[in-house]
Amino acid sequence: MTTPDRTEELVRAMLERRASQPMPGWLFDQTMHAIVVAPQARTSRSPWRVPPSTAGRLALVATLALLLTLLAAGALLAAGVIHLPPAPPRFPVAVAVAPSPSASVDVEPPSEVPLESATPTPLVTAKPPPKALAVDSLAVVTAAGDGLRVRSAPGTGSGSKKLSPLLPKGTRMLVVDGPVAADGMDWYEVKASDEEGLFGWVSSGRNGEQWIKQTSPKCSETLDETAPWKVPAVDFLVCYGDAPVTVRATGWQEGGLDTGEGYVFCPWTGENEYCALEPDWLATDMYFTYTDKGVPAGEGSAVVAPGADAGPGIGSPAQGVKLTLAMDAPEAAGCRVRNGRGRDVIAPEAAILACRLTFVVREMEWEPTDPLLDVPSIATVNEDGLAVWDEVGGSPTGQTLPVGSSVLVVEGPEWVGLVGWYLVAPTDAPMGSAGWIPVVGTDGERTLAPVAIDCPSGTDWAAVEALTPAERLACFGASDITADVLLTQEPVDPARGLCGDFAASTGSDRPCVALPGWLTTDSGIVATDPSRPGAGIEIRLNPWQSGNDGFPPEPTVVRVTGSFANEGSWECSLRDAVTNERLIPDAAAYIACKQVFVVNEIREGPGPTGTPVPATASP
Amino acid sequence: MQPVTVKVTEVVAPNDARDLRAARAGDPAAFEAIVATRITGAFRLAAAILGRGADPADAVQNALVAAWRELPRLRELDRFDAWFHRILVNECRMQVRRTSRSREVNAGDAVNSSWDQLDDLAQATTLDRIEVLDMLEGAFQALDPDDRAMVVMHHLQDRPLAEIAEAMHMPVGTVKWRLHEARQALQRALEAVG
Repeated sequence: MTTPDRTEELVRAMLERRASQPMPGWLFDQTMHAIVVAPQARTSRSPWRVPPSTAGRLALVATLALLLTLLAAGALLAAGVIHLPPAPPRFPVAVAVAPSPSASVDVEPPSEVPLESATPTPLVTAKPPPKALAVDSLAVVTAAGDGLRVRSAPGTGSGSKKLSPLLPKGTRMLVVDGPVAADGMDWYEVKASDEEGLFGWVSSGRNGEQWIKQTSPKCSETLDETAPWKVPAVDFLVCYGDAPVTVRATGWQEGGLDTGEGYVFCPWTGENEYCALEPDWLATDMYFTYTDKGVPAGEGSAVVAPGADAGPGIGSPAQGVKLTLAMDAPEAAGCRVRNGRGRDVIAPEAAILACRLTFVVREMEWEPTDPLLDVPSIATVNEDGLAVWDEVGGSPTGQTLPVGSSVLVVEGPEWVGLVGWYLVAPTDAPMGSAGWIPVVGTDGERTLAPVAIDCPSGTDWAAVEALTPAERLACFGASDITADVLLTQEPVDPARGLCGDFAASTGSDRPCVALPGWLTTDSGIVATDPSRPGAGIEIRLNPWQSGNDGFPPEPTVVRVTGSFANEGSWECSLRDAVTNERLIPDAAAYIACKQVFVVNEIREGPGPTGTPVPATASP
Repeated sequence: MQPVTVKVTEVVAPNDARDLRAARAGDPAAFEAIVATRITGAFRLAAAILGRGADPADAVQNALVAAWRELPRLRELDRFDAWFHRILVNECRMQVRRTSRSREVNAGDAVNSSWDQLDDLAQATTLDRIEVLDMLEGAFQALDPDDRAMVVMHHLQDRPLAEIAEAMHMPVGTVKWRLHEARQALQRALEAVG
């Protein structure tokens, strides 16, 4: 049988062999050449993009599930709205014009408007539309046919490039500039509200035919905390301008390199072109989940203004934070997207608008971190028939835990969306019944409740002896304990150790082998309190500390330093000696091994001046 | 038996704050000094993860160029090495996936084939170390790219679990668990060859 130690040695050797292949001589020079010709840039993401990570997708799924549940419960109506002035004064909202939809019915719909006419249009100012469209108002495409063409500049001349795609009828747009008269038409600079978010110039119509008209934004007179995720971005800007709103969010996720299918270098261009946003902090999105009355309700993103994040930062994905945010940041006026040579990659007005449409957080107030449970710890089950799972989000093992039962909490939380999972084992159940438990994070329902333990000092070995193995692990975790103990070497009992415990708790007589041997088989070494001799605790000696000499052969009072939760517990496994089949889940063996006290150092006689004696054993 | 400790060339060298500041400001010469102290370790890491199936040099070059391009938005320069390490590991993972796609290899078939070979070899009376390492490498190569990266960082570089978790965008517990599973898979391979 291959031991874990040999596995470790061979794995290292194999990896070393792979790593030792010679590095090509050209690599350094060619890399530096590529670096010299590559301009530096900064990354960014578009606002309102769904987080690309699996965790983000899982969070979104969980959020949507919770949202649907909430909707079904009819509890989505918001309360506590924040009353604001009806409209920001700097961006007047024009009254919507509502012409008859049939006004252009008799007109042959243009296949693409405006069309480049073979015959130059006479330089006569076209009949103006009934009302000029106001800047920072919304318009909608009314032209039928294939759609309305967006161009890079007013007019149809060679200096005005066609942009794609065509805007279909019904597309809503934010009016940014205009009107500008060119080629017999009035042109408006717009940003489409659809997914493409096309930015450019469109004609309002020709020869009395109206291709766009003003429309009303989709928002109410009041700004409540649900608006940032319910109201489309351009509508939000039109409705509320730079008015701040305070929202509660969770799932704060720092932006960074796109580690999915590639890097996104250039903000808002849709290209992997290397460029940077100025000012750079406006390019660093943070993703989070908006909550409505504590329940996840929508995904969003925002950038944090310099100096706004003075809090302790995120402690867990479920930690709440109050954000005071607003669009239309004053700094947006200076926004530019430029390449390495300092040239604008997108039109300055497009960069400015993109920045204006970005939520900027001006104040952050982190709520206290809410660790669901300490690890390790002991907890009681709050829910009857609580299912145990084989892994996080895996499958139920079939085992259930009764309400009020006690469990040792060993690992976690592992977050799936906003739900934390913990690896637990019943403190009074047969070996092997370990598994993962989901603990709901933010809705107040907790499946486990922490249990307070009166933990003694580690130096009081008699008190440590009096604890149960689970309590010892919960009290001390992997912390070092130094205590004066009487060490006694007893004959090794093959009926003890992990295999012995398994046989005793299950009645199984299957041939058993436990790995690693030094941590799972009986050592015969018992440590008892010298002043109050009791049953003692069987300890194991860390084989990685030194050689194999120096262990006192006779009962001796020594000062030992060691800990529970040895790192080697991850190697623990209990197998059938013939078939190699697992007799208990590795997670259960892991938990059993964590409860073993492993000595790292022994000093002769009590007191700090004793001579160190290596804690040794032959693995 | 004592554990074998293999000294590896660290990818992460001590930060050179002055060079990093100058590089962030756009000075390629300063970044050259950064590259010079890290490229060997980076190549070792990439080679260990990728083996001969994909080109570790490409991964290193891509990662260094990406780091150069992205450097201006790295606010905390003292985190450069962890940040670059993450870029490099991700580049390796992407290389593995690209290679896997281009070869249209079914991962499950690869695993089974590897185990079959190991079973066959288990029948042999003796195996020299090279053959054992070859078979172990076959099993390692069949691992998920993320698992390969984690095993390399843990067993070759002795990186702390928290650092691996950061590089892999995973919770520490998940890293522990997946490392455990990967080690189990490799141990099964060794047990098959005796």
